[in-house]
Amino acid sequence: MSYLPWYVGGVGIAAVMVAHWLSLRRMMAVSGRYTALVNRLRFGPPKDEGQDLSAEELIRAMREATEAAFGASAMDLPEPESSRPPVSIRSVDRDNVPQTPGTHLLFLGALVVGGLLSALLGGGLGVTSSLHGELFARVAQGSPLGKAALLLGGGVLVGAGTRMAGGCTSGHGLCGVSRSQKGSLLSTLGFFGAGVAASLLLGRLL
Amino acid sequence: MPRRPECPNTLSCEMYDLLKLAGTLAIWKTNYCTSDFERCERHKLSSSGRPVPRNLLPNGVLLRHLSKGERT
Repeated sequence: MSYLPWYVGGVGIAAVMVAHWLSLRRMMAVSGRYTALVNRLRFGPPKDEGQDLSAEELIRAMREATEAAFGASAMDLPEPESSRPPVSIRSVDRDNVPQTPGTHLLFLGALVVGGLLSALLGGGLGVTSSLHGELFARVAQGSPLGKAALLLGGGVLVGAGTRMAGGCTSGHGLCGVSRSQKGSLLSTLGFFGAGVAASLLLGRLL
Repeated sequence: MPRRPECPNTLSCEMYDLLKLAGTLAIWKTNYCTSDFERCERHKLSSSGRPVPRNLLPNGVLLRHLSKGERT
């Protein structure tokens, strides 16, 4: 199976991120959508009145609540320094596409379909319970059960780490780092560093 | 002067984006998001794995529709 040059992948990912922002006015975060779906299944639809407030209504209600919580003088504070260009609340209301379980499912389903299409076009479509690589084969020792346990364990660890860090590789590694968010820089250093270290360590030990 | 710690959920917090849009709401950021975010009710819910209502303020107040008379 042949691969495109690495930089094509980079440009493609950047294009997807920009298209996501332009179409939905939201940063792309895969685990956030997954979490929203799981929470919907666990806790059911939102019950609180006011969940359907538009951005403009929400900000209006927030201004009232701000005065109630901090006093009228709080409203006289100067505008915060921000690197973001000023955005009108109305434009957010108009442009911000509501996110529902349907849109989350559509996005996550498109990930699967996209991967499937990519495999079909690349000629590498096939069902497997394994990962390529000598190290994986050595650790699993050829046992199908061992391979399944490794994949399951890896998935659980990735999921737990994602929840602990408040985001996944796309959220922190792509969106957060590009916005110079300190937490995302640290998270990305953490998961890339740990991945490299674990890989080197296992390669030496096994 | 060292910068104060920022809430790790700023990337995913729906309200944080709104706070950035309206300068008059900056006091929430300075009191919660960029300082004592551990006491933020949104942060607490998110950390416990529960869904965070989009109308929940950091101090635990749930925003509701304003009545017609209250609308400006």
